[in-house]
Amino acid sequence: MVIFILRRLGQLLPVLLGVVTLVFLLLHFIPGDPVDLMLGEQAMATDRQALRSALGLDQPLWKQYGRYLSGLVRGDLGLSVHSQRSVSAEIWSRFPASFELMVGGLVVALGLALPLGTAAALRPRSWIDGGAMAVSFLGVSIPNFWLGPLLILAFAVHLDWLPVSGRGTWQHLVLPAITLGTAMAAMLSRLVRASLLDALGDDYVRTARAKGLTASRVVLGHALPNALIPVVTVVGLQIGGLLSGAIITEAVFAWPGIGSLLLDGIQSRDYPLVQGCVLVVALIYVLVNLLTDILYAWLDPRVRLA
Amino acid sequence: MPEVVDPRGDGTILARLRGVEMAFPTRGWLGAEPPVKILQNIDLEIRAGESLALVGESGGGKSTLARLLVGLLKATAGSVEVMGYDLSRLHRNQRLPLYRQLQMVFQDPSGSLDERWRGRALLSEMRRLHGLDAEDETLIRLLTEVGLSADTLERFPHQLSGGQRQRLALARALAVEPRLLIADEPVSALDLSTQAHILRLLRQLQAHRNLTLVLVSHDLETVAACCDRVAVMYLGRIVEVLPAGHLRRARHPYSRALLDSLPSSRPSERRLRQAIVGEAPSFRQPPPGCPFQPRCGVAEARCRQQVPVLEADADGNRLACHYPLSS
Amino acid sequence: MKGSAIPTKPSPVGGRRRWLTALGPAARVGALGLALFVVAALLAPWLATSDPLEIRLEEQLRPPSVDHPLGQDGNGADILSRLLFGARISLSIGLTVVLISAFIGITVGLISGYYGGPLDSLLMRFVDILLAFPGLLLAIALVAVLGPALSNVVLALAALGWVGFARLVRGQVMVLKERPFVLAAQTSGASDGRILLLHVLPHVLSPVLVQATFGIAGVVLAESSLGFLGLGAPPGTPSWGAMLSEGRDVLFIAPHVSIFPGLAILLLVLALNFVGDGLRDHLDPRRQGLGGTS
Ligand SMILES: Nc1ncnc2c1ncn2[C@@H]1O[C@H](COP(=O)(O)OP(=O)(O)OP(=O)(O)O)[C@@H](O)[C@H]1O
Ligand SMILES: [Mg+2]
Repeated sequence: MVIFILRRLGQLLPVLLGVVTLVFLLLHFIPGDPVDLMLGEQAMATDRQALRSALGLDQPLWKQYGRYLSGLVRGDLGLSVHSQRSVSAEIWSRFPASFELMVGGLVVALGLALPLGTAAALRPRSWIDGGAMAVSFLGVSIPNFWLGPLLILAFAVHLDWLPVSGRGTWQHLVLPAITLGTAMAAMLSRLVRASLLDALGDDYVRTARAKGLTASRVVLGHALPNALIPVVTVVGLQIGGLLSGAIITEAVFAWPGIGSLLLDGIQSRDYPLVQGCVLVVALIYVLVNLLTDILYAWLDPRVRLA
Repeated sequence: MPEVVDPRGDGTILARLRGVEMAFPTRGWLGAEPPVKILQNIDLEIRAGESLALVGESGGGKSTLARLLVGLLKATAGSVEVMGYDLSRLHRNQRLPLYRQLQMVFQDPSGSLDERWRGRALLSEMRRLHGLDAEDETLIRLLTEVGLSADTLERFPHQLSGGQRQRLALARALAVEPRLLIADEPVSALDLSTQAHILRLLRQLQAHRNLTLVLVSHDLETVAACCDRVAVMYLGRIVEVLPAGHLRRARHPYSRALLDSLPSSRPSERRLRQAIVGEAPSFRQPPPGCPFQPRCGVAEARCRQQVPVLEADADGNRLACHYPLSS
Repeated sequence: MKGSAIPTKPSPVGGRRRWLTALGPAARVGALGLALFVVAALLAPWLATSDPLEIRLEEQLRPPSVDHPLGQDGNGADILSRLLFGARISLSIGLTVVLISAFIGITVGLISGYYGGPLDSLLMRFVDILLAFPGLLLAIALVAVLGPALSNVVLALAALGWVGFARLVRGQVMVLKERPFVLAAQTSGASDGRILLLHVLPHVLSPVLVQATFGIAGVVLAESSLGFLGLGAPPGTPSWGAMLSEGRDVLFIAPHVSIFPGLAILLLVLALNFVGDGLRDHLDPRRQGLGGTS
């Protein structure tokens, strides 16, 4: 197991370096002069020069790269052009909100997918199954940027049960979490169903049945734990979708997370901020995938040897 | 065309393998591990006009050797010369002239034909590639030669039986009129009566077309019936080479064990395995000394220390054994 | 991609005509819906009741009426007409991005899978790096630096989209190149290019088609997401994403402005997912489940 983790970490290093490099280069993909874009055409020459040297843009590319890397190692992502605060501090201050939203989305996703998928698998081809699968198809196709506003209109405006936007009480989290979790719930419920049907066909489940255990005991005690192993990987893989979805969801609900920060950065052409947000989100994604892999290998020893 | 001439002058040599070694990279827990040598010290010549059999247990490296012979694999050491071309550094431009003379038939007749191509396309592609005419008339003649009817031109492989598919694969290989044909267990996937038909066909073709044949097989009866010379392989090495007619008088204990395992009726691979004591040792941890020593009835201390070399005797037969049995 | 999606049964060439009926009912509904969208897009100039770019400020944000069944937007333009023209943009962006992605991805996948070795390792490391970003994030970042324009949206989405095709094709090719019929093609003396195009490529097209269908759905969603964030077509363009973005500001006073474009996106994506799922089950009955279109 230790060897497995070490090997995975070894494979990760070049990917991380690549990610960092790509994010660094992002600034250089800008057609034209980034300083002009950030400060506007009519900015004073001295201001321009100041920003240029603050960003290191007056140095050769490899020196800029070296500076960027050495900054990163110290956790320094540069200064935000607008607030003049350190980018890492800005991101860190938004972190709790993003984390809260992600956890909320995940809870909604699992909370919907497990019962829905299990119910469908217990009665395959029944109306429950058909209904559950139709709902999941809809859920996968429904865009976050549409579901969010619909929920706001229904529950915040017409029924006035929940707040329209912002963060604060648990009521604030309900609608964003549902918006974020639905697509994943839809995908997972199909997966839970399929992998449960698989597990139900296995020998040990049949044996358990033959021993006279009731259907629900068999499912909950034997089949479901095994069926959940593939679900773990897919949850890990879908975290990417969740992170993307979070950006949209934060925009819809004015949720003060990293996604909103990124969009603010784009709006104000605060490129160091944009780079920092992109890098942090990508790193979170890579980390979650690593953890999923390790968890999966721990649950299913066959993977370790592959 | 370049050709290798046998220095002793007893016929043209079409292919010559010298000190060939084939090692495959392996992956273990920590990534790459030392490669496993599947073939070692292979020395072999193939003479024009003969039919040579490669026999041995499953997993002994026969297919690997066959693939080396047609350039589908590159030897990790030693040299493979076929039709005068050095296969280890075959240039792109040399592929067409080489495969004009060298062809291969694969073990699995359903897998070796592209299921999306009709008989006509399968055959005419071969001929066109080599600048030969691909008239229906020519193709039908080819089909007749392998015992197929003209309507095979319109058929997709899945519309043919296993035997018909193997015949079509054969026709495809023969379409360029090669001089050397490598057949890797061409019949083992077929039922018994079809096997007999295909083998008879191979024998006839060999005679009529002046074809040189290398037949890979684990079935000694097949070999005895249709080959001139037999090379016995064990754990990636050639242990004995002798005329097919002298098979009964083989001197290597492994060859003899293979023979003894032949029941009076039809042999099957499973019975063959049982007759030789113990499991074949693995390529990863080959036994010290002679590779056959752990399963050999007559092994002595020397066999565990020294690998026997393949040496020619007075009759031109070759043998790698410290204590050969008497003929 | 676990398990190969190479059809094991013989190719049903004679059955190609029964192709549509062989799809499940859901896929047929999807195909019908998709056809409707395509027709709407093609015939937009004739179906539209008014000019999608028309500005009638005195009629701005009017709710649905007889003349304007889906209402009017902030400029007073007819939303239905704008949706019809938007279908053109969405479908053609979806198709363009997927075609470019598939072309690059197939090429990379064929070469990487067939030759293996250091080139393959290099390409796959690059793929790993791109996959280390959650899908939409890199697209957002790219459009943000390139500037909001439809051409940049296409560029950004294609720059990421090929990765999926490359991985898919590479996996298939690695299995295919060991199959005897490819070996037989190699010993026929054919050039590598010929082997790849004539003997290998046709066998990967089915799974590529499935992926392309889901891919279009993904691109439609991504384009509207970018548009919603203000990173797509410039304001005023009748693109569904841009319409959503406009509707966002007037959600409470004129919800119809964003509801209908969202519905159009939902229906198109749903249709594409139905078709993709049906195609997949049809081409490979062993696999089930939904492809990634989040
Ligand atoms: N590409 C490869 N990579 C690693 N190992 C391989 C490869 N090809 C073959 N081997 C190994 O080489 C050994 C010999 O295989 P080969 O197919 O040559 O045997 P064979 O004598 O033809 O057996 P059979 O009668 O079953 O066809 C086997 O242990 C096999 O696992
Ligand atoms: Mg073999």
